[in-house]
Amino acid sequence: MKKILIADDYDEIRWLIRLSLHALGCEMIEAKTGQQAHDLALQHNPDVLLLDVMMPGQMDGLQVCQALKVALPNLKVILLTARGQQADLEEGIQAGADAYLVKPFSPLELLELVKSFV
Amino acid sequence: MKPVLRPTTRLRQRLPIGALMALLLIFALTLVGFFVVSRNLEPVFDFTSTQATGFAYAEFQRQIAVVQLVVAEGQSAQSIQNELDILHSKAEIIRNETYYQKIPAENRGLLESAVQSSLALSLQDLQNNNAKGQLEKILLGAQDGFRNVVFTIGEERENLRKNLLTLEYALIALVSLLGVSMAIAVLQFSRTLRLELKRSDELQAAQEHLLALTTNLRVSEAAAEHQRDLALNVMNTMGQGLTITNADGRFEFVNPAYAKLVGETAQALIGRSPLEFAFPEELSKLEQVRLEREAGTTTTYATVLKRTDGLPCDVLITGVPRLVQGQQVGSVAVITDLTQTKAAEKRLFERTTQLLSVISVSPDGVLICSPEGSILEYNAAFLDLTNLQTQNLENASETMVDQWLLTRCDPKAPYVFGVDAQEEQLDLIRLKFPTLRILRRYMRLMRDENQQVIGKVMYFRDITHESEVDRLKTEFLSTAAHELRTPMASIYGFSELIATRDFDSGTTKNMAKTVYRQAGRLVGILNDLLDLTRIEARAGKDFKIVPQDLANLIEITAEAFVPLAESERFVMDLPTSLPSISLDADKFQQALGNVISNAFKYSPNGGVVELGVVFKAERCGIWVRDQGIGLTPEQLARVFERFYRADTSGTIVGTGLGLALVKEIVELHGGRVEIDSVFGVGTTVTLWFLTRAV
Repeated sequence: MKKILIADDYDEIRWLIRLSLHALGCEMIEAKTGQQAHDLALQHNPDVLLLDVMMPGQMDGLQVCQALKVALPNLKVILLTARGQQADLEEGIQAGADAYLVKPFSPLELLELVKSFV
Repeated sequence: MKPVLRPTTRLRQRLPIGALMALLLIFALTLVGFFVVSRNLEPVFDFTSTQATGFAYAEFQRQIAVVQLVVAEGQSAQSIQNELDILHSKAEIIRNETYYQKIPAENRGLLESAVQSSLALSLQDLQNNNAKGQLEKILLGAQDGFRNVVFTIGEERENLRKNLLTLEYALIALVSLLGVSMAIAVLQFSRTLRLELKRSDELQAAQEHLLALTTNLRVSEAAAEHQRDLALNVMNTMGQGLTITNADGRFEFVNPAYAKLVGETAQALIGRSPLEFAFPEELSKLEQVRLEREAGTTTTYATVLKRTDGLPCDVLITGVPRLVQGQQVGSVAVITDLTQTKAAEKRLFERTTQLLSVISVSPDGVLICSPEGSILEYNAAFLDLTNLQTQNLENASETMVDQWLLTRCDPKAPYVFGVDAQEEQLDLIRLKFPTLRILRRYMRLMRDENQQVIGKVMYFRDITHESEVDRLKTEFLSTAAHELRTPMASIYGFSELIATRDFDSGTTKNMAKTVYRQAGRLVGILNDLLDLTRIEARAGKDFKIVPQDLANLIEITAEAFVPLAESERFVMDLPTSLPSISLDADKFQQALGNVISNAFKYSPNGGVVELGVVFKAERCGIWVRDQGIGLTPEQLARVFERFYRADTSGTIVGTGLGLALVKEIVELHGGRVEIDSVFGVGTTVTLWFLTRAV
């Protein structure tokens, strides 16, 4: 079974993602902070990581992405962010993200995106 | 007038007369020589004469023979007589012949006796018998005479030849002498002539030079005259006064400008003394400069002229002594009217004072440097903005100011040296030490009317606040967008799921509730934002600040903002009597309401929420204390930032704008917000207001 790690500090957003990807029938793990996302990813070795960029704590989304892309080369990372400037997108790509979704996002679009990675 | 020169006069004078005379003499002697020679040659070449002589003697001898013959033959007396007559004539010829006389007397005896015997011979003699012997003797005498004649002629010829030779040598000598003399004369003459010609050329050149000089002199004279006219014209039209005094110190010349200065006509001043136009208190000074001028010194001094109308006129006088062979014969003076200058100086002084006053009170820093980089002027604002002290700038240079600023500059923001500024330059200086300060420096070169650089002005404006506001605005917009996107993500996402997918009714309802809650949050953010921007934009101008019953106002607010379900943990302890203070009631409620809401929101685990009032000096503090999660010092430092949320779990609903709004409202009332907090223990927020109206 494919594993998807959902990292966002807002409970509602995690729930929204969970509902959106329900149809895939994948195992879904949730993280509330960057650090937690990093640790859970290393622990569970998921196929896809949905990662909020602005998260509280020591590590923000970009740092987590960078670290995990080194540790888990096969991991697909989809960045979720409320910041949609060109500069932010470039930062994401530099951090090694595979895709980028700007909030608010369409759950159907997210589903299609994740499908293409699993 | 072109002078007439006679070079020939001088030539004649220079010809050697002695030589000429000698030449002429030699020439004459030569002529004489020629004459003598020709005379002597005459007999040499006179063959006719010698031939005739020879012929005569031959005829004489032949006739003697003829006579002998006829006698011997015994011819008739007539024939003998005829022949005898012929003999007589021949003897006569001999006697008259040229050479007959020349024969020396001792040798002539035989010939003379023969001639005389012939002449004396008569027919009877011949008819005598002894005639034969006589004729023999005559023939012998004739023969001897002929011999002597020939000899004499030969001798004569020899003498002539000798004379001729002598003459010839003499002639040759004369001719040679003549030739040499002529040659010398010709050489001498040609040399003299050449010298004379050269001299003539020189004279010609001299003449031309003289002519040119004369012409130049005329041109110079014309130029001098022109300059004199010009000088006179200048003197008469110049703005400065000009006077020329004689040895007695009286005016010889004054120009109209001077006359006008003293209020007279130029003509009326001639012969008068400059001292007439001096105030008595100036006389000693004038006497001193007069003495200096007498010593040959040019003097420049300021004095006051007394005009004919009695009014004073400030002037500057430069007096130059007129010297003739070291003797002072008067002075030339130039008089400058200082009245205008003094007025201009006064205006300039006033203007400078005004400018300096403006600079000194300016909130912007001003620094003025000389073209060499030394500091000419600065104001207090400059010291303030750069943290420089007056003593730092004593004898300091522009470079030193640059160094000072460089060492205090934010290393990340490159500092542009002011000393290198070109015509005009504008740059930002980010000072980090002692505190962040952003200065906008504008530099410009100052130039005089000839475009020469006379200094540099630097103008410093503190734009720290402006840039900070700019930065906050940008950050605010970015944060606001982010804060709006988060609830929008829930609304958009859940509503799309509801619309496109089927869920069980419980999930659907939960999703709808979430959408509703997030929409509410969005509205809250928008309201807070609008409130905040409105309050900010109006800056309190729309506040209705009127005296309020404080106790009543606090009670109403508490009632509205304390959650009904939690009212049991709210404790309000107000003094029995509270003064009325001037406030905008609505805004006060909004501010205090926010603080009360926060106290409940951030103490999710319960605990008492207290409200009280304190007084300090002329201020009144309304405080709200909770026993909630509290704030770390880092959180506390950022608590008034817009959209800053101490809680990031998302469990506590909030916009992050509340405290910013509170602060804005309180400060527009002239008050202050104070927050004390201990992480994990609780927070106290005090709103301080002034008890008297602002």
